[in-house]
Amino acid sequence: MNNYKYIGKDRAYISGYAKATGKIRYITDVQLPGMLTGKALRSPYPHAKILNIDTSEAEKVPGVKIVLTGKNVDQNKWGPITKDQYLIAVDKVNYVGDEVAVVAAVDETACEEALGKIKVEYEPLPAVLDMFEAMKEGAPLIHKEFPKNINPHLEIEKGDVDETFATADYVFEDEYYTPRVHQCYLETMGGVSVWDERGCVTIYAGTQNPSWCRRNYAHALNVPVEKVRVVQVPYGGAFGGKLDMQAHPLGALIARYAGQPVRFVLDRGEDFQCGLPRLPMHFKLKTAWSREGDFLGKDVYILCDNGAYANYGTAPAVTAMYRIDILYKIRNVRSKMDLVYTNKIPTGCYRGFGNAQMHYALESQIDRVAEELGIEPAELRLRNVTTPGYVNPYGWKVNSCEAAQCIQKATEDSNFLGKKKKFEFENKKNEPETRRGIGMGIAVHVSGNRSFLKEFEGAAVLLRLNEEGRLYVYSNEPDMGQGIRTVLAVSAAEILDLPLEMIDVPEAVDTNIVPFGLGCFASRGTYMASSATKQATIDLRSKLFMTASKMMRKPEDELMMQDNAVVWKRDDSKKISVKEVAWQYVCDNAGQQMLGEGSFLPDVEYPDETKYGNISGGYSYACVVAEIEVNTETGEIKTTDVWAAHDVGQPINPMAVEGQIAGGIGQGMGWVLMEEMKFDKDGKMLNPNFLDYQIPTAYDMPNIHTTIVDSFEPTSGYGAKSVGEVAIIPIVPAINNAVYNAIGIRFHELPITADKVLKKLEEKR
Amino acid sequence: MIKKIRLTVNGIVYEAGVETHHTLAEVLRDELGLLGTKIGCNEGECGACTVLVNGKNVSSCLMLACQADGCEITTIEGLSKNGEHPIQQAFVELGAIQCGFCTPGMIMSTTALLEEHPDPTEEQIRKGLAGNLCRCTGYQKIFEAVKVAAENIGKESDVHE
Repeated sequence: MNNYKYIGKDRAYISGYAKATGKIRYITDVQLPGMLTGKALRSPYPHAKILNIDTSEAEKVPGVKIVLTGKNVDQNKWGPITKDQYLIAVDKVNYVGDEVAVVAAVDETACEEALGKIKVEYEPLPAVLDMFEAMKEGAPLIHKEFPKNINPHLEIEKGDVDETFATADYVFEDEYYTPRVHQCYLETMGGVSVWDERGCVTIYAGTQNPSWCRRNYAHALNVPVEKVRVVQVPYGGAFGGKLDMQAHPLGALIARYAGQPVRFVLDRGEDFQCGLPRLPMHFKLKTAWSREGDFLGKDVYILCDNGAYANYGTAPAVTAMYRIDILYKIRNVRSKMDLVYTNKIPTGCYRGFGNAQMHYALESQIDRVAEELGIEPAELRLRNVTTPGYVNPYGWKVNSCEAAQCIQKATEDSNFLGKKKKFEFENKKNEPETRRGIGMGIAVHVSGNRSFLKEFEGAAVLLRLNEEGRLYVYSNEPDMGQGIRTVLAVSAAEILDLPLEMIDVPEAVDTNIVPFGLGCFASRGTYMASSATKQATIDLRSKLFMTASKMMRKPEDELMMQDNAVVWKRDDSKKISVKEVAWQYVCDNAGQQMLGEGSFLPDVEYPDETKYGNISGGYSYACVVAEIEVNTETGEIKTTDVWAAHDVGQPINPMAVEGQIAGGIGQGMGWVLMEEMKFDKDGKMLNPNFLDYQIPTAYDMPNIHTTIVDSFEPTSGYGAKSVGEVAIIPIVPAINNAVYNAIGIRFHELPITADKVLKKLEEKR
Repeated sequence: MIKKIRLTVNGIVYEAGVETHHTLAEVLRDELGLLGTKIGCNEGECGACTVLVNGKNVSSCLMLACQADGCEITTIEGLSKNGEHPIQQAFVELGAIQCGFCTPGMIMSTTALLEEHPDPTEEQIRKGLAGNLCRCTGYQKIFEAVKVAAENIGKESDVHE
């Protein structure tokens, strides 16, 4: 459909060799001259008053530069949404892991020794460790500004829900629960901070949103935003977990008082216990259906556990309420939600962002609906799924939508219907020790989310062509492994027809250099930045034509870009290289290099109080079919094959899209079958390491069969939508539904571990 | 306590006084400046710090530097100068790398795997890499890269023979 030269071809990452040779420098590799190590002393109590802290012995440890407590530093309570967290606790600690004091020393050994010598006197307070208890009368209050520990309660309603449920042929009601799970990026959270003599701080950080997080970090540090520079350096994965975090501004705070650069990096145990994992959610989900299988209404109550501090928790909690209402054409929808504080690890963003949790619930329930209505799961979904041009009850506009194509492709390729019946029959008839099962799930997610921040949306790109014809692309969208640098390079090459080796996308996003922007989250990077890059290259191209026109004595409108040159359309032997044009431009302009500016603002609006307003320019769809085996003797579930069909619009780099899809499937499979952050009765995490918190290994992975379906998003520069988050979503219900197909048991709580399977099988016997 | 040790790393002999409690990973990174070896967990669970010690893949965060005294060590920096090794090429070209933090360790484990099984089965690949966690890729493209690397190494050795 599109005759692209660069877009849509498999591309090795431009960072590939730097990574394969170990030459790329990650945040944990950053070393500055005179750098000290910072470490935090963390609360052993889930909830306690701090009565006294004695740091005198710690200060005497050789090599210790400073020891700080919350009372002797200049800091503000901060948070990206609710300002409820100190960098160092002042009077009270709210979870096991809360920062109580910090040290800076010449090395980690000295830090550890000093931490061991800080004497803290606590008065333990009753703790809330269960989200179901948090709102109860008499429950301990964690933040006095938030009665009943609720922050916030929200209700959204469109259509006539009560009437719909009163008159529907069928109403289904189920409860579902998903626990705290951790992103488990391979490099932990951290940063290196250094202050200059003017009181300006540079934070080298592993972050997804450099320009935005610095605003919140500035508030925490009580300095003007313009004095905070964030330099995002390459880092080892994020998956939503590395938006605004405590580790960066806390490291900066330590560096300010130490008067030397400070490296503040969490160890793995700390990262588990003080990171920002996925919000646990409990769903009471009701759906209304006609006899024929029309999906008439949805009514859900969601209780979410934010942990001790809000961070971004509200955003995924709200997303869980209604993002899914663009998956099916349902007109009557009601969602109520309470997000509560507990004395547990604060939660934040994790790939799928609340929407993933809700999909688990709804797509699991729909499997039951299909069975009870006697309609095949794929058919029921095809009957109700969104189609192009649909506008949902919140005014969200769907442009491209190949959900139906995704369902058809994944179910056909997997022989879903045939296998489902075959497995059902075999399992019932022969009751084999190993039972096979197949299940499906579909999903939607956004390409950027206008409701995330009120102030701003969009992306901008600045291009600079130096005097030698090398192009530099400056964008605010960080690469955390998803390959946005390659997307930007390819997007720039397409219009300019420059070889990729002449394009540099700096590995660091430096807020002193790049245009303002939000960063990479909400599956916004590719959609926004490829579009902005296109605009910037069009701008740069016009300047190339203007200069070349004078050099070639040809009208600008008779010129085109071809193979690193400006070429006369009428006779392509008449051409002039980009390098020559770039040099001429620099000479004509007293050294000024040629710049290209471009931005992209999708056709979206910040939702009003009733949540009306289109939140995204592009909705991505997917269908996943999972085939599994359940060992009825051990309870173990093995995922053997997964078929994933995704509508991501026009893929910019199909190989990278496939990588995102497989990676999402891996994480989703871990979530359904293996992962759960466990706590003891005192709120301390029991399994803060990879031995006890197991994530999928190479040995656990199924064979993955990926299809990128034909699609083109007209609002996007090159037709691309997103893939980052939708990749993790449908596998979760697909496996849950496959388990039912295999053993006839519906699980309503994740993860579905072997012991839970065995227990249920025994109950069934 | 400081102990003097001698290591041969990527063919270069180093003599260093190291703290007896320092791990090989720490010494490689902090003393020798070989930052390609990554520390993901520092507990021997993630495999990011995998290096070859006398040809065997080892989690260098679990091995004390003193224990490696006299050993021959290969890190990612020793595999090739600019990524010319077939395993590195296959990882890059087939998209087996995303954030890349697990990559040096994964490539070192692949090196050991292909040394032991030049023509590995699917099962051998999965087992051979089960000690190296990757959270980005879902391992699919890594499996493909390992197979292609094995083929290309096979072709190379055919040429040499």
